Amino acid sequence: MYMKDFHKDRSQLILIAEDNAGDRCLIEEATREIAVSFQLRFVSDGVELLEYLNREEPYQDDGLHPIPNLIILDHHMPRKNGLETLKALKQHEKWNRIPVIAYSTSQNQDVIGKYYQHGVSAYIEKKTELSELLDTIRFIEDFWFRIVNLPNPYSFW
Amino acid sequence: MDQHLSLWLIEDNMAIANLIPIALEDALLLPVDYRHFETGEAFSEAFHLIRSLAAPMPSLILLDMNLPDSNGLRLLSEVRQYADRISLPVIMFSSHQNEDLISMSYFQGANAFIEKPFDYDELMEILNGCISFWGNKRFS
Repeated sequence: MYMKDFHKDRSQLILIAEDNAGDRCLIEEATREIAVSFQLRFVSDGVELLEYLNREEPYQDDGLHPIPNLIILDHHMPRKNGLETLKALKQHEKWNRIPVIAYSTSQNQDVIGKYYQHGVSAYIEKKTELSELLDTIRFIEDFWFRIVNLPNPYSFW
Repeated sequence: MDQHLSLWLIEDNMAIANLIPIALEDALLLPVDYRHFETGEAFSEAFHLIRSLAAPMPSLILLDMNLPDSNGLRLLSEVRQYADRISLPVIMFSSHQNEDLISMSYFQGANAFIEKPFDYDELMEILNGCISFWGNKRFS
């Protein structure tokens, strides 16, 4: 295990935009099972994600709705899909510093290429089997929370 | 995308530069196209040559933050100013971390910011993670 000053730091937050309630439950179940070191919040699509960051109703309270260190976007979402949301984030003078991971069941190389063109940090395949999802979440935790240094969003907020 | 995995390292510390191909072989057990550049200038030259030839870019770049002749952030923005190369994964590699440096790296379009490893095991973990997430640009 990567030992660099690592301790279970619950202050790191992942904000996930996912419209499918079943998938949200599965992800929550998986993170409970692993007892992950990060906090997890959900919004139901890209529009809601932008409302969250914008501090719009009902997200005004910073203590209850902290700014995330990492954002995860589902590709297929109503209103604003993952790619459109990514573009909006990367055009914003502050949010463009928050790394974004996109996920989808689609492995279309054109779609993946577009995500990278618009500044996604990484693109991962969506898992719907609990056992596979557990592996993916473990890997995200090991890499993105123990090896990578994520930005402190309040240093530029 | 089953293209051959290629990694470029821009790093003036030869200890790390020499360890990486060994670690890559350990981690992957398959040949990796590895190129090392000791200076920002050498990297810059190779990058612009590849661009002008429209030859394939590396799968992934590990870019040292502090180079004798340049700094990593400047090279990162040089890479990112070409729209056709914006999708190239660049991982910043730094021996010290502070919030501004981390924040600036993501602002300039780094895919990730990683502190340099203390030992071989850590280096292996870093490379394993980088290859999993960016080796073929899709983690599955």
